[in-house]
Amino acid sequence: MTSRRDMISGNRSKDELGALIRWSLQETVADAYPPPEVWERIRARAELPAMWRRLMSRRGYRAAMARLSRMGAFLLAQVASWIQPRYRWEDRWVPGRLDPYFSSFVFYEPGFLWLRLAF
Amino acid sequence: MTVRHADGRLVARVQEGDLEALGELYERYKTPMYRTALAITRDEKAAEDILQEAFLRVYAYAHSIDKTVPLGPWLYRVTVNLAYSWTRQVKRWLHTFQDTFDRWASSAQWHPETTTEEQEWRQVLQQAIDALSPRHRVVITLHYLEGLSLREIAYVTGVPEGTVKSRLHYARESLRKTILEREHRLVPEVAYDFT
Repeated sequence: MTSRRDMISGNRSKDELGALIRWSLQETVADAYPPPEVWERIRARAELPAMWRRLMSRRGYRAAMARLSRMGAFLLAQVASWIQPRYRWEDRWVPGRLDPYFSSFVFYEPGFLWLRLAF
Repeated sequence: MTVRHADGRLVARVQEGDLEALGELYERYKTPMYRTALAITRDEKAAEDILQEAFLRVYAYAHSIDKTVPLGPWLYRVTVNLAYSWTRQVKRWLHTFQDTFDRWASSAQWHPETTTEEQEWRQVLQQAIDALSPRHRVVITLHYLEGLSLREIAYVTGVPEGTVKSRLHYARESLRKTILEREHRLVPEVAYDFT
């Protein structure tokens, strides 16, 4: 461990403030070394197939969830268009109102499921 | 493309999926990267995660790394960006509180040679560095701990050299103020003639 005076006296002619900052930072992390298990974790992750590696990273997980959400929204839209009642009105088909209970089941339940998966 | 240095040769091997080469790069850079992440985040677990993520990116994006230049600056850039993300996500005050508590808890018995004055100085300076905004702390850490030049820091942080210079100046002035305040609190015979 270097003392503050030693550190500064060695740099007296130059930049004392800089020497003091350097001393403080070096003292703070002087004995810091990464534990051996970090490399083991890197190796284990690197050996995984690329798809799983991407999925395990935070960004990859978010991207996968976003993709699933988009896919879910697309499927819901398909289902909704299929189940939505239509009425004949002046020679054309117009969308009718969905049953409130059924629509809440179809839209909200999967929506909450996606939210829970995403966060 | 001519690869003249060891980093480039190792990166070329990593590009072919060689994990031993990644291990050699890890051994070469693990300590400075870990210390940089630790100095910025002040959190050992975060520093470990950042180190891990940085080297996984070396492996994942090896094909896009320039083999003709040393890997250090690229790794610093990734490490600093990950540390930025971490500081954005974490509630800063919570960690500052935890850190302050840890420092109070660590007594002089761990370093008997350390005088009370030395400890106090270190604590004051470290708290002042912690109080800086992440972008100022990054510049201070890279310049004084890692010895990077302004140009290198500009590359690592992705901002112009002039911005790095002004951030360094601001951070130094802020720390100078803290030190001068502390000097005034000291009794004259203990005070160190800081200029």
